[in-house]
Amino acid sequence: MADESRQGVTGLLRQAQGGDRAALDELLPLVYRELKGIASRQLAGERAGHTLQATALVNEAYLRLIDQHSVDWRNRAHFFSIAAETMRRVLVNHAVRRRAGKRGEGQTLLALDEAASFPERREVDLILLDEALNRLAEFDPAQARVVEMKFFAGLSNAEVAEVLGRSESTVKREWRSAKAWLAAQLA
Amino acid sequence: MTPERWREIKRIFDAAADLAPREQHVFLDSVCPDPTTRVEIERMLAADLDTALDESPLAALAPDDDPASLVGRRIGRYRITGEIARGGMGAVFSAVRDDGEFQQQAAVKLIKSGLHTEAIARRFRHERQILASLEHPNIARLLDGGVTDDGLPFYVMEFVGGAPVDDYCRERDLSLKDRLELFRQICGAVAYAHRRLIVHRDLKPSNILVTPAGEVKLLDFGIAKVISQTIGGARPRGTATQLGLMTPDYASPEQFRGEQVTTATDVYSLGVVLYELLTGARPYDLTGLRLDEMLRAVCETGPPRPSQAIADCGLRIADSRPKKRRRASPSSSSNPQSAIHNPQSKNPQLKGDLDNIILKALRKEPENRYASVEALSEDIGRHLKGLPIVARPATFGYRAGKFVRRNRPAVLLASLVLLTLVGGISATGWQAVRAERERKLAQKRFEQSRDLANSLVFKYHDAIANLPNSSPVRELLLKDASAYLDNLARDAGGDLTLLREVALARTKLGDIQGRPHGASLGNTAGAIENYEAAAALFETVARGSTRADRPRATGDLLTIYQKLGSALTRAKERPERRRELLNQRIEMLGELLREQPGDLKLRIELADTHTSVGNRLLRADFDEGHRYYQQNILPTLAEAERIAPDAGETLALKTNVLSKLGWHFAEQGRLLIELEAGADAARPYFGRALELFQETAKVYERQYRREPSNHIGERRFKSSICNIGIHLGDAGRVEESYGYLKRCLDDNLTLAAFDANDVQAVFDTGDAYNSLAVYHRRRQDFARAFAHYELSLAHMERVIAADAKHHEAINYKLDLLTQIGNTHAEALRLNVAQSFYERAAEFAARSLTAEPGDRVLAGAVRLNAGRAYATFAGRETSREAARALWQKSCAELRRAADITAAARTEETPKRLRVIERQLAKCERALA
Repeated sequence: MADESRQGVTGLLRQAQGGDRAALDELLPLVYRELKGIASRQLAGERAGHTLQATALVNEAYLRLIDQHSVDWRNRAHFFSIAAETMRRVLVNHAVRRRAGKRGEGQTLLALDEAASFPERREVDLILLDEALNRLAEFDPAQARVVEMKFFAGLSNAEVAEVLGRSESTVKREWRSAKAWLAAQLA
Repeated sequence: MTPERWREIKRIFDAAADLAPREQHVFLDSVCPDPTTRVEIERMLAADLDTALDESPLAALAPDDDPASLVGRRIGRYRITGEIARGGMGAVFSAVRDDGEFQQQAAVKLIKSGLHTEAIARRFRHERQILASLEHPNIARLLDGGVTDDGLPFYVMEFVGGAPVDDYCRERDLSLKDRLELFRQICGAVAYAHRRLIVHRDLKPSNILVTPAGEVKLLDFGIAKVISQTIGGARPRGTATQLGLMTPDYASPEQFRGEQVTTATDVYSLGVVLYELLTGARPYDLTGLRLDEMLRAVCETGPPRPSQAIADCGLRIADSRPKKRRRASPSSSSNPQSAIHNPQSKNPQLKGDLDNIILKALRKEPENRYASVEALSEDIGRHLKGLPIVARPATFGYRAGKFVRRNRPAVLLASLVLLTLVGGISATGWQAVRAERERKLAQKRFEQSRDLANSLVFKYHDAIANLPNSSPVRELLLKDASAYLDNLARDAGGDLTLLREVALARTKLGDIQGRPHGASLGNTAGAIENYEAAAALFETVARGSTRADRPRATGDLLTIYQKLGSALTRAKERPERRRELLNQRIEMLGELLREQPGDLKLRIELADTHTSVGNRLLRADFDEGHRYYQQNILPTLAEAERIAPDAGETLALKTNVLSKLGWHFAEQGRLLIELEAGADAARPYFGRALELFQETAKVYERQYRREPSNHIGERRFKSSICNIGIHLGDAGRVEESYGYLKRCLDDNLTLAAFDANDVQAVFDTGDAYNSLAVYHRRRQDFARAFAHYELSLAHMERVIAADAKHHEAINYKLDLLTQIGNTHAEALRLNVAQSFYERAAEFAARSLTAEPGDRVLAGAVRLNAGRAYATFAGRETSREAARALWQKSCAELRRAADITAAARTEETPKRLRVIERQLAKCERALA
């Protein structure tokens, strides 16, 4: 990415941070496109058995999008929070598309295998999760942000703590209870 | 959901999340405001272990793997040589170890990728050591485990060439007896693992192989736990996720419901395996059922009796297959002689004992199954020997029937004895016989009656003593026999030998009625009466005994005094009689020791007796008691250590003496604090107590290391860890204490989880929670302190629910309520504190007896309430409010003094000093 574009994104980020809604609207698609691009490039090159690391993705997007010389840590934190929200969109959209593609196949029931009594792999239904997360945001928006950053962007507790200005132990606790609540909703 | 309600839910969830599952219930009982909230939190707790949200959602985008491509590759030190089987979660390969040193065949199980790789690897590292410690000829060894370079979790097991146990039985056409013997071999291996606290969780024929040599090998021990702890626990109760971790056909109701898995789970699965081995069918036919239908079948319906199952299904064992029930085809009958293979009739060999054994193993409630795999195995062993089994509904007729079948000659003889006795006494009457000839005849009959009565008391009684639930029969037997002996003794005048026999019968009767542990009838009053009678008889015998008989007479007296003394202690009756008995024992033991100074047993008995006296003195006055210890007990202990330093008896004495002394030192430290003598004055006492407990722990540890399979030793060692934790805290080393206290709790939780009926473990767990509460309280972390206090309280309540007369637990609960009150007072919540004191006082009124020791406790509640009011009065700025609080304080303290003064125990003066000191302070403030 060219330097001036990078400076442009950085500028948008600053403005968005300052509360400029229009800047945020402009910024999100850029981040979205970048994340998607990185994800599909990585997937194409991956060997079997390896998976993408959300946090690596977000970090790479950050490095590519933001001018490192003109931002301080708060910008970085703010970018992460935006990236997390964006990642959520990327993944939920992906899930919606995949479901559309699979429609008609019917739901696979649990395979109870006698030879090896272990479960089939279980994936989180991202669409249900997205809905549950919206409900959580209604009565605890801050906690919903924690989930976004932890789950969709793979940020560490320290990073989330930095973004939200809370202690690490609070983030850890909030993440645990949110996870439990969400898992219970999805069950 | 409102934000407020959510905050409340989060708060409770945070506090409950780190507790063990069974503790969570207890905790929720105590804190949950309403059922809806509780359900919400329970669902969250059930989902707490769900790691689905820990995996990056991007993992879903990764392509699948093909395990087959692994043949020829190396995994760890093993080279994959071929594929054995493939299943839903992974594949099994044969492999050889070829790192140059030696060749070893192994089986490598590879788990499909994407399954929370990292979490599994972590658990494997954690569990591997434990699993590798399973060294048993009938358990396939875990050789290695970890994650391949490609991120696939794997584990390597010893390669076993053999057939699944059901195939093996079928192919060899084993007889019923051989099948049972083989099954007992399986039980032996499972019991071995249980002793190491490892539960299999997934026992089924395909995990139980039998080698061509007939040797059983269990596969995958503990593996299910590794997997399920990482991915299991996801959805609440009995939903698909957890089900995947087990094999429904062999899974217990608690597994279906997603509840805690214990050794009882393996008992259940073994029950299914046995059912299948003996009938060819499974207790529930789950083929083609939906999940919820399976759950209902297993958790709500009862299985057909095994003997019935054969008839119902018309199944022959020779036709059974591991996966499906099959209808027998009449043409394929290979062994028509064997009843077990007869497709048409019910099987008389299974009817009765084996039905009962299997159904007991298959009980829905874990606590109603066999308490252990050993018990299951033993019952089968008993059945094979023709002895009565435990699983049988406990009717007298059944037991008597079994007893008679096995001991036909002996029972006949015993019945004859009773007839002879009745005839002898009622028809003739000893004194009525005058004529010489008749006298001789009567003498002969008298001797016979007496011999037979003695046989009843000794031979027959002892022969049935170990039968389960034989106490009522034994009591009856002994009562009748001792009544006959009594009559004979009265008629025979001063026959000392006969008197001694009566005394021995009475002693045995007392033993049955009053034994605190084991199969007793819990009739302490009856026991005391019989012991007193026996003591009087033994005394008569001793007075009339010749020199040669003296040692035996003394021995009899020592024993009966000891038994009588402890029965009185248990009943908390007649303290003066108890003291008298102790002094008599000390005197007699001293005499005996003068003659045989090197006798270790006598020495230890003397020390034990001195200890009882010393402890009584210590309760009344620390210095006097301590002096007694120095003068009498410690020298006796030193003497025992000189005679036999490593003898088990010496070590037991040592730990007993040191820990008792430790408790009293700590008690004295607490008293000094209560008397407001200052922390400096108390510290040396706490310090000494700690030293004594550390010394005790060292002895226990040595014994435990020497004999790791001794459960009592293990328990003692573990409880000495608890003691060190408690007393580190008292000695002011609060931070250091945490590690010990946490370990103490973990140990006890493990024990309690291991055996649901282990009341002592529940009590000890409650005790451990209390210690942790005190720890948090010392660190001013009141929220944690209260949570732990609540848990402790709930445990004591569970003990009391199981045993309403559990004196220790009742006292403990009372003290807890008071301490929780005190803690609320410390946290400046007078109203709440007050409500706890009230609860305590109410509980004291309801549960304590009028017995003096209990009155002292009731007084302590009032004292604490009085002290709390005083504390708040001191903080109050308004003069009037302060005055009102002082008045309340004084009123409570006066009540405390009244109650305590009326109690008149050894401790009363000490307790009164504490109360009066507070009262004086209070009255000064009012004046």
